[in-house]
Amino acid sequence: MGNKDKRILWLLNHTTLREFEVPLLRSLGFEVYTSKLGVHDKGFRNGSADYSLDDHLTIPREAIQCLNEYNFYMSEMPWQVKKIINTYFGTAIIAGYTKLFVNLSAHFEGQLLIRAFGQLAPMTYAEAFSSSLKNQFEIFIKSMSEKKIWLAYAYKSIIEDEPPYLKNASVYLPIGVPEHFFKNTDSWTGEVRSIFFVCPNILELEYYENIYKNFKKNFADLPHLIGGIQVAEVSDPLVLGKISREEFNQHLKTCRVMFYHSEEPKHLHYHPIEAMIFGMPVVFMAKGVLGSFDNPKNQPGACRTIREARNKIKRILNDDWDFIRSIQSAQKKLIEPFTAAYNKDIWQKNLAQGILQISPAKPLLKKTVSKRIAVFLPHSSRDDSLNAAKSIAKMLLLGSRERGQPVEVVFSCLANTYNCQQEFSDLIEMEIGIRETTWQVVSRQSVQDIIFANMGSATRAAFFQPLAYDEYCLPCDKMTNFSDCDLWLIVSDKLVKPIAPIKSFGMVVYDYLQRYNRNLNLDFQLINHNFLEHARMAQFILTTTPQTQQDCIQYAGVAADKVLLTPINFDPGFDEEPVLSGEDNYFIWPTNVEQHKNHEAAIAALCYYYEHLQGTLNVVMTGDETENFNLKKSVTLDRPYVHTVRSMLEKNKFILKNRLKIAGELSQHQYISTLAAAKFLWNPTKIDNLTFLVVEAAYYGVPSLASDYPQMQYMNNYFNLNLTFSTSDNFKQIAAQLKAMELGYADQIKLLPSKEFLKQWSYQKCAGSFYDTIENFL
Amino acid sequence: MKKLAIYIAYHPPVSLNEDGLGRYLSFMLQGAAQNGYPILIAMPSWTLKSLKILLADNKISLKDIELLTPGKLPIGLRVYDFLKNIKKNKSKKINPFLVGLKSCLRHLTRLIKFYLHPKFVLSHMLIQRNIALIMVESIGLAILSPVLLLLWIIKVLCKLLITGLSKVLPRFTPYRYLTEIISRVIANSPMNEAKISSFIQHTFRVMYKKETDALVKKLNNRDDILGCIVPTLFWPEIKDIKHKKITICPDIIFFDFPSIFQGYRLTYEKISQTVAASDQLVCHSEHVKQNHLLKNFLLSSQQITVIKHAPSVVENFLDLHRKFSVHSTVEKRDICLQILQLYQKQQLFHNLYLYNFDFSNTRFIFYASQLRPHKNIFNLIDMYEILLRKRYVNVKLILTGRFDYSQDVYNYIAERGLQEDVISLPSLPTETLAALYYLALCTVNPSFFEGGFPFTFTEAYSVGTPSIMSAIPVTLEEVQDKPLREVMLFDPYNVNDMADKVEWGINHREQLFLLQKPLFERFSQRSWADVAKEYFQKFSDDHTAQSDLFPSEASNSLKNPLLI
Repeated sequence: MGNKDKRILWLLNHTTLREFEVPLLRSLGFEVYTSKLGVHDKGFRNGSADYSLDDHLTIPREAIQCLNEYNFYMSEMPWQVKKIINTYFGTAIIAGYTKLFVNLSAHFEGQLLIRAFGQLAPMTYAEAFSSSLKNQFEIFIKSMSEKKIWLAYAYKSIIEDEPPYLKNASVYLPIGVPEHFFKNTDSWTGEVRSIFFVCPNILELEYYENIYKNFKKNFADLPHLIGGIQVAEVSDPLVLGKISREEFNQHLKTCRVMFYHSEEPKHLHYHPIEAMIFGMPVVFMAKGVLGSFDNPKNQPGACRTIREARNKIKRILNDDWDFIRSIQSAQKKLIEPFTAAYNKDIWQKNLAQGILQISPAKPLLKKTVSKRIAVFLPHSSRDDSLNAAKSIAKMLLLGSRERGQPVEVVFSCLANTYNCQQEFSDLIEMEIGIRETTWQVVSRQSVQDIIFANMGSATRAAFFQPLAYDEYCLPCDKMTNFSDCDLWLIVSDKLVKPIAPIKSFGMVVYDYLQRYNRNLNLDFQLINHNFLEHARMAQFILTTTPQTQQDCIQYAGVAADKVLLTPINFDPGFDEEPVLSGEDNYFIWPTNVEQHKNHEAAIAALCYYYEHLQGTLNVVMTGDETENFNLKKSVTLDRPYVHTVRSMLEKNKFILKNRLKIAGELSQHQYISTLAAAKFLWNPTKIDNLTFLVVEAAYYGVPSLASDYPQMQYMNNYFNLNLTFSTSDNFKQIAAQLKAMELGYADQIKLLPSKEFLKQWSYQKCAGSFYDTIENFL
Repeated sequence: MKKLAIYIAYHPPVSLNEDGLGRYLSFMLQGAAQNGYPILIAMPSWTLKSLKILLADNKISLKDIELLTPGKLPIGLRVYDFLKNIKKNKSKKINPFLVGLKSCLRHLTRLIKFYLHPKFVLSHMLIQRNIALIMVESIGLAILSPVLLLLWIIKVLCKLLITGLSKVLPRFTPYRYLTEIISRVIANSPMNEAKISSFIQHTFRVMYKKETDALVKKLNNRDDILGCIVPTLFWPEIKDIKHKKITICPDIIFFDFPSIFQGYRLTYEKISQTVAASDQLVCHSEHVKQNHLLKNFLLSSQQITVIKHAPSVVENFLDLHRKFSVHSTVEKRDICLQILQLYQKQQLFHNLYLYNFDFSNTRFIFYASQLRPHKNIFNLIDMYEILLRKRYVNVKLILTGRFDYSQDVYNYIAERGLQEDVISLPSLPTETLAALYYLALCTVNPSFFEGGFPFTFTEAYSVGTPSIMSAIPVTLEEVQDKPLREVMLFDPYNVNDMADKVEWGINHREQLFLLQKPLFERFSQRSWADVAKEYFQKFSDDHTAQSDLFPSEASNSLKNPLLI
C-alpha cells in the first residue's frame, strides 16, 4: 500500500464516535483527517471539530487548511479540494448525509465507506438514500464496475433489511466507546433514589418530544431526572437542560437507575453504555440493540414491556440490592463489545486486511493516451472572438507540450459558415483538427439517457444533479459528437439553450456589459438569466480581467473557486511596417454602433473641443457598421440607437463638418495605416471588455486617451501602456483631455512600451501559463 | 405583585412577526422577564396564534406571561382557517377511505359510460374466447337493462335537446348558456363582488367591535392590573379601559412628510382619539416628543416621557449547540451561509435568478426594512447605481422589504436594469436576518425619519458589521462625536454624499467598525430590562398621584384642537 492508502478521510464530525474511531484507525497504522465544518442543524448536537488531530497529518499545511475551510456536507466540491483528496487519500469514511455522499462519490477516486450506525426503523439506508436521490442511488451502486462504495455498519441488525445490492457492498465495522469513558468504571454510588432518563432536543425534534411524552406518561409518578442537551428551555423543572459534562457524570454516579427507552433495532445511544461503565444498573427494552448483544434471559435489566420495566425500576428504587447486583454483573457482558480491544481485531480483519486489500485505491494513473480538448466557437464570428478562440486552441496545444503533458486539441466551428481550409489554415498547420458543428436541441430525457449510458468520472457529478431544463443543446460533428474529447471549452456564454452536461465543460466569459447599462429590453432580461444560468452549470469559467471575474461571482452567481483568471495574450495580427498616407493631422476613434461605446458623450465632447477649446486635430471614426453614422449615406441598421446618434450628428453638423471623418469598416491593412499616422487613439467608451485597441496603438507607436474603467486600468498596468485617462460621462472633462492630448501627444509617445516589450505576450509565450490555469480540470 | 398589561388589538390578518411592533414587544417581554415582572397580554382571539409564533421565534418563555383573550375564535374565522388548512394539507394528508370511495365512483362511471355504448359492448363480447363468460355477462346486462335503457333514453333526449336548441339559437352552446344564466343571477342577487366585499368589511367591523368590547370588559374585571401599555396610537377603544393607560407613540410620520403619505385622515382621527384616551404617552426620541406630539396636540411636557430603545442584538439567534461567538471566523461564515442556503431552498426556489445563486462570496450592502415612503429607498437605489456603474464598486444591494407590495420600487429598479443587483429577500426568519447581517459588508440606513435610533445599527454591530446611516434628528442626537459623524452619517437628500460614505465604509470596514465601538458600547449599557423597568416605574410612581396629574378636565385637553 502506498502512502495514500494509509490515509483516511473521516468525515463524520460525531464527537464520541471520533474519540473512539480515530485512535483505533491510528492504531491500525492509518493517518486520519477529520472534517471540521458541520451542519448547522438542531439534530447535529453531537457534532464538533477537533483541530488538534491535524498535527498528526503528514500532508502540507495548506492542504489541511483548504480542507478545513470546506464544508463537505453543504457545498459543491471545489477543484482544489478534489485535487487534495485524490492526491493524498485512499479511503473516505463518511456520514450518511446525501450531499456528502453525492460530493464524495462524484469526485473521490478512492474507497468510500458510508458509516451506518443507526437509521430509525423501519427505514433502511437504501430507502433513506433513495428518498433523496430517487432510483439513481441503486443504479449508481450497481453500476460501480469495481467495489468502491461500502456500507460500513456498526450493528448486525442494520444490514438485515437492506436490499441485496447494498448487502453485497457492506462491511461490518462495530462501534465502540472512547477510552476516557472507562475512567469512571464502577464509580457508581446510587444514593439518589431517582431514575436518570436521557432525552435531548425535546422541543426541537418531534421524535424526542414523543419519547419525552411517553416517558412522562409511564414514569411520571416515580422520582426521575431528565438529562440531554436542550436548545430551548423546557418548562419541566425535572429536565436538567444545559449542564456540564461533570454534572452529567455526577448524575450517572449518583442516580439509582437508568431507564433506556429505545426499541429501535438499529440505533443505540451512548448513554446506557456510559451508565453501565459507571456501574449504574440500566433497565432497557429487549427489542432494542442492547437486547441483541446477549440473550435477554441472561440480562435481568432487559424488559419486554413497560409494565415489566416499571416493576424492575420500583424494585431498584426500593433498595432491592440483590437485584441491583445481578443487573450490574450481567450488564458487564454488554460493555465488552464496546471496548477498543474487542473492536480492533474486527477492524483489522474487515478493513485493513479486508476491503482495502481487495481493491486498494489506485494511484491517479496518468492516462497513457493523451487527453483531447475541444474548443468550441458556437457563433459565426470573424472578428475578435474568432481570433481569441483560435489563440486559446493554439495555447492549449503549445502549453501542454511545454509542460510535458501534450494534449490533442480539436476546434469546433459552426457548420457551413467558414471556408475551413483557408480560414483555419493556421490551426490546420499546427495539427489542430477542425470539426464543423451543428448545435442540436435535445430533450431532457435524451440527456438523461446519455448520462446513464456513459457514467464515467466526468459525468458522475452530473448523474445526481436534477436536469432543470426541458431542452439542452448538444454539439454534433457527424462523428462522435465530441464524446471522444475529455474536456469541452466553450468560447462564449451566449448560448440559447444550456449545454447538455454530459462532459466536463468550461466556458470563456469576456464580460457582463449588460450589468453596466440600463437595458430596458425585457426579452433580453429573460435570455440574460439563461446566460447566467449556463455559466453556473460550467465546471469552470475563464475570464481575462479581475473585473469580469468579480462580475461572474457577484452578478452571475458562480462559485468563486470556479472562476479563473487567465493570462492575456497579445498578437498583432499584422506585423508589417504600415504605409503612411499623407494626412496626419488627426486622431483616430475606433468604435462600433453599440450603446456602451458612449457616442453621445463623445460627440458632445468633440463639439466642445472644437467650439470652446479651439481644437485643431480632426477625428477619424472607424469600425464595424459605423458607416451608419455617416449622414451622407443611408442607414442599413434600423436601430433606435443609430438614429439617436445620427440625429445628434445632424444637430452638430456645422461644428463637425470637415472635422469628423467617418471611415467606416477598414481592412486590417488600412486600419493599421490609419492608426499609425494618427496623433493618438481615442477610446471614450463607457465600459467595455478587454479591448486590444490601445495595445495595438502602443505597438505602432501611437499613444491613447481612454475612459477610466476597471478593465482599461488592468490593461494599462498589464502592458505598461501609460495611457491617459478621462471620465466617460462629463463631456467637458473629456474635451479638456482631448485638448491636453493634442498639446502633449509627443511626450506621451516617449512613455510607450517598446515593440519588443509587447512581444513577450505573444500566444506562444503565454501558452504555458494559460495551460496551467485549466490543467486542474483535465 | 400586580401585573403589567399590554393591550394589542390588530385586525385579523396582521401577523406580529412582520411588524416592527412585534419586535419591540418581544424586546419588552424579554426585559420584563429579566426583571421578573409578571405580564398579561390582552389581545383578540385571532392574534393568539401569531403572538405564540412571535414568542417562540424570539425564544421567550411563557412562564411569567398570561395571555388573555375574550374567548374562542369567532365562527367565521374558524371556518376560514379550516378552509385554509384544507388547502394547505391537501397534498399531505390522504384519507384512505376517501381515496377508495373516489376510485370506486370513477370505476362505476366508467363502467356505465361503457355499457351505454352498444358498439363497445359488442366488440368487447366478440374478442372473448370463453362463451360461459359472455353468457354470464349477458345475463347481468339483461337484469340491468331497464336501468341502462333509462339512462340511454335520457342521454339521447339530452343530445336531441341540445341539437334542437342549437338549431333554433344558432350560437347556443350549453356551457355558455349556463354561465350566462349564472352570471346574470349573481349580478342581480345580493352576492355581487362589491356587495360581498362590503359585507365582509361590515362583518369584520362588527366582529372587531364585539371582540374589543369583550376584551376591554374582561380587562376591566381584573383587579390585579397595575396598568396597561398600549403599543400604538391606532386603538381609540382604550378609552373604556379603566386601568391607567400608557400609550406608546413611535412616531406620527405624516406630520413630517404630509405629502408622501396620503389618505391619512381616518388614521389621524384614530390617533387623536387614542391620544385623548391615554393617561400618559411614551415616545422614543426627543424629536417625536417635541415635533410630533407637543406641536400638534394640546399636551404638557410632563405627559410625555421619552423612553429610549435599548440595543437590539441578533447574535444570540445564531447560537445553537454552542454560542456563535466561540466559533472561528471560517466556522461563523459557514454557519451563516448554511442558514442563507436553507432560506434560499425554502423561499427562493421559484426565483429564476436566485434559486441556485452561489452566495458564498457575495459582497453586498444590506438594508433590513419595510419599503415605506419615508425610508428613502429611491435615493438608495440611485446611490447604488452610482456605486456600481460609475465607481465600479462590485457589490450587490440586498433589501428585505417586499417588492410585490411596492410595485413603484420594483419598477424603479427595473427601469434601471438593476433587478439582478438590487434584490429583496423578504419574510426573513430572525436567524436568517442575523446571518445576513453577519455576511454584509455594511448596512446602510438611508431613512429620512426614524422614531428611535434605528435597530439596524446595533443588530449589525452585534455580529460584527458596521453601519452607514442618514444624518437625521435621531442619529444626530446620539452620534455626537464629530469624526464619527463625518464617516458614518450622510445627507439623505444627497446621493453623491451617500455614495461617498458607503464606498468609504465598504473599503474601510474594520476601521469603521472600530470607530463605532464606543457608540455601540454606550448603547449596550442600556438593556431591555432597563426599558421595562422605566415603564414599570411610570406606573408605580404615578399610581397614587394619578388623580393629581390627570384631573378629569385635563384629559379633555388632550384632544386635538383641529378636531374640536
